[in-house]
Amino acid sequence: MIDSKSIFETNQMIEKEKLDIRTITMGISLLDCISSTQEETREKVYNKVVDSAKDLVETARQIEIEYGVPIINTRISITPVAMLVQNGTVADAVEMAKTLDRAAVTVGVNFIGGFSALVQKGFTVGDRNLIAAIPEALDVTERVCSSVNVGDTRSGINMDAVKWMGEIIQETAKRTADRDGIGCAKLVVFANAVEDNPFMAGAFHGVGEAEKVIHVGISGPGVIKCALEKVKGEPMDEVAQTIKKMAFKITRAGQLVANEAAKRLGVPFGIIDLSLAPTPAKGDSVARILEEIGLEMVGTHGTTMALAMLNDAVKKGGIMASSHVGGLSGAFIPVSEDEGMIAAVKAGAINIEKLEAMTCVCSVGLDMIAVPGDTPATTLAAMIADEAAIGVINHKTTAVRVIPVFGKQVGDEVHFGGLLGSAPIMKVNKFSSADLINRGGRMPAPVHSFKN
Amino acid sequence: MCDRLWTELWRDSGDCYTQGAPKGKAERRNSQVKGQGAEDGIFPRLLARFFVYLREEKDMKAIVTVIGEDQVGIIAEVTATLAKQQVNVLDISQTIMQQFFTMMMMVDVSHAAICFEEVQKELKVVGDKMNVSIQIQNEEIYHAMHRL
Repeated sequence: MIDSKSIFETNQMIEKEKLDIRTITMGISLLDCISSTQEETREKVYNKVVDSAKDLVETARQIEIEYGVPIINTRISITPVAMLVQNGTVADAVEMAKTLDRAAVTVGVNFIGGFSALVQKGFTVGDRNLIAAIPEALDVTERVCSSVNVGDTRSGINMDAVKWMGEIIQETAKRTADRDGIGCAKLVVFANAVEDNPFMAGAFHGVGEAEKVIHVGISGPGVIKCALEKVKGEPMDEVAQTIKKMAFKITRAGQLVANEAAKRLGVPFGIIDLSLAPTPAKGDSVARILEEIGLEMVGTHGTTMALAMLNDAVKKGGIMASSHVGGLSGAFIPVSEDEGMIAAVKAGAINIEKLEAMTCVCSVGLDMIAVPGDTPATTLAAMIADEAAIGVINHKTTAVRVIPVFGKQVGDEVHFGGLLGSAPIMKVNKFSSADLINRGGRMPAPVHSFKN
Repeated sequence: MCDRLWTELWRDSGDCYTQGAPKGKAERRNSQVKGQGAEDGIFPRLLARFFVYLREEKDMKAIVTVIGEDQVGIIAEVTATLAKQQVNVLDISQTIMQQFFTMMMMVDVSHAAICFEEVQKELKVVGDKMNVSIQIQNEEIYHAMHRL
C-alpha cells in the first residue's frame, strides 16, 4: 500500500491547497462541416459539436468523483470560425456564433472557443467577416470566446489588424457597457497563438490538429505557495527545486485525468497545459507565490526575476511528468482573476508598464486588465502592438485581454463575477500613439540571428 | 455501468486511442482487439471487446481515508458499510495523530454491489453520523503523484 504520508499529502493538496484540474477541453475540427451554403454549414457545425461532446461533461464528473480531484471546467475548442464563413457575410458570422452558443448550452460546457481568425500576414474574406462580427457576436452570446492572431515570429506583425482590433475591443466594450464591458473578457488578441491551447478565452483547434482531441489544463498556485512556505530563507536553488517537485506532482495528476478522459471518451489525448492559473479565491493566487519568494508586494523590483524563475521551474517539473506538453504552459498573471494582483493594484504596487515587463517572462500577456472607458482605440491598439512585438521578437506567445469600462475612471472598481473576478481600473499612459497606429501596414518578420 | 459498457463495446476500434499518451490499458486493449482480426466482422469484434472490458473492470482498488475525533466503533461502522456492498478490505492501517483518529484502508471495489459514486455517498452518510471525514478515491491518483 502507498505510504500514509503520500496519501495525506495528496488529500491535503486537494482539500486545503486547492489543487484542481482547471479544464478538460475537447478540440473538434469543423473543417468537414464547410458546405455550399451557410445555413447548411451551421446545421452541420451544431450537429458535430453536440454529437462529439455529448458525453464530455458527464465523463469529467465521473472522473472527478472517482479520483477525488476537482475538475473545474469542461470546454470545447473548434476550428477557427473565419474558415467556416469564407462564403458568407458578417451577419452569417454572427449567426454562427449563436449556433455555437446553442451547442455549448446543449452539451453543458461553460465556454466554446474558436470564434477566431489568424491574420498575422493578411485578411481573407472570412477573416474580415469574422472580425467585423466580433462585437455583436460577443454581445448576443454568453459562452462563445473569440481570439485573433495578429502577428508571429515568422511573419511579423499585421499592423492593419492591430489597428482594427483596437477599434473592435472598444466597440465590444461599448456594446456590452451595461455589463461592465464583459464582452472584452471573452476576446484575446494574440501574437504567436498556439493551436492546442485548452484555456479560454484564447482556445481554438488549429488546422494542424487531429479530428478530435482532449487537452487538459492543470492548475494549483495554492499547492506551490504552501510548499514554498516550508523553504523560507533558503537559497533560490532550493526554491526552484521545490517548485519543480510540486509541478511534477500536479502534472502527474493532470496526466492521469487526461488519459482517463481520453480513454472514456474514445478521443486521443493531445497535450497537458502546465499552467498555474489563479482564481479570485484566497489561496489560489500566482501573485502570492511571488510574494512568498520574497517580494513585499507583487510589482516591486525583483518581480520579473521571481516570475521568470517560477515559470521556468514549473515547466521543468511538469515536462517530465507528462508525455506531451503544449498550450500556453507557464504562470498566468491575469489581474482581475488573482486576489494578490488585485491587492497589488489597489496598493499602487503594480502598473501596466510593470505588467508588460512581466509578460516577457510569463506564459501569456496583459490579461484581464480593466482600463478607463474613454481610452482611445489607438491606445488600445498600441498596447496590442507592444505585446505583439515582445512575442514576435522573443519567440513566445503573448496576448492582450483589456477591458475598457465605460463610465469608470482610474481608482474605480469593476466586478465581473465568478472566475473572472473583479478589477480596479488601471491608469493608461495619456500620451497619444495615434500616428504610429494609423500608419497601418506590416511590421516585417524579425531576423533570427544576431541575438543580443 | 451499463452505459459505459455499451459505449465501450460500440466504440470504433480504429485509431481512437493511439496518439501518444494513453499507453497501458487503452493501447493494450486496442492491440488485443485488433489482434483478434478486425476483418472477422462486427460480432467477433464486439465479443472480443466485451472480454477485454470484463478483464479490465475486474481490477479497481481504492483508498479510503478516515480522519476525525477518536470514538468507539469507527472502523466497525466503515467496514460494515463496505461489507454490505461487497467491497473487500485488502489492507488497513490506523493511528492516532495529534489526538485525531487517522485510518487508511485499501479496498477492492471491483465486485461492489453498487457503483463507485453510491459507495462514496454511503460512506459520507457514515462520516456525517460519526462526525469524521471519510474519502474514497481510486488508488491510481496516489500512484500517479508519488511514484515514478
